[in-house]
Amino acid sequence: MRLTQKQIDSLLQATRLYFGNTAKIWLFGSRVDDSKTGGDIDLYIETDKETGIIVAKLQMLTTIETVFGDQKIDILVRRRSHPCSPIQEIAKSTGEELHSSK
Amino acid sequence: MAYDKKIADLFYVNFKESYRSAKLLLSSYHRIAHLMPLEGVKFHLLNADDLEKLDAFRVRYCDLQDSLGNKTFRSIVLLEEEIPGSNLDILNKMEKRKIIKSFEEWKFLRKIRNLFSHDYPETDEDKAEILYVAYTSTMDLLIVVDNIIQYMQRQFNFPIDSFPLLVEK
Repeated sequence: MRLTQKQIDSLLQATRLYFGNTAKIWLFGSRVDDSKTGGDIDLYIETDKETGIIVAKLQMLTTIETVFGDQKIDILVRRRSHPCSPIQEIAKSTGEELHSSK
Repeated sequence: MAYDKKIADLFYVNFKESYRSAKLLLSSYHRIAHLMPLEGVKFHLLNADDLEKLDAFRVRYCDLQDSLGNKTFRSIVLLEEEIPGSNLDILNKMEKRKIIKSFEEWKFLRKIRNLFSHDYPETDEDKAEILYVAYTSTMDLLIVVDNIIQYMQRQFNFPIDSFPLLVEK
């Protein structure tokens, strides 16, 4: 996985802040592969939050900018009350869930 | 303030495009007002005419953002004989001139624009929310165009009377 622990911790903190304490986050796409270079940062979040998902996404992108700078970040969000879409299935099954170092 | 005529012509061309986009966006803004606030549950109930109006709004919102951020801001800096530098430098210069309220606000507007070209298919709830968030930020975007008009009039006594202000204060 090509993220530093500092980056992971900032993602976890932002996820809980904007999507709730029960939210979980995965990194998927090329950044999971240590043998590759570059690439966008693709994130998948599962949340119990029902409304205000877009505003939460915007707030999270603004917050994590201080750590990631201008790197392109895409955030895919699934409300747990909805079934998984095909892309969400792929993100979750091929991705790595992010965990705190503590 | 004196200015280079060729660069002034470039600014005029770029700004004319931005102003045109702004007027179209304002028109779209009014045309979708009856649909706001938009909710995901109502999305599938929208008729073809309403969907077309929302699409037009989305495209025009992006067009104005792109026009201002990619061309007009840069040509203002060139006109004042400064080196444009990076996009970050240009936005800081626009903030300094009070053309944008703040660097952070412009970046937020940019993020809204980028959500329209998201790589992943969105749910109806998400599509509705993106459109509503863009709708509520439209005046902030149009005020940037008005700020340019007023700035250029102050700095260059620019003959831009043919660009009436868009937002009532």
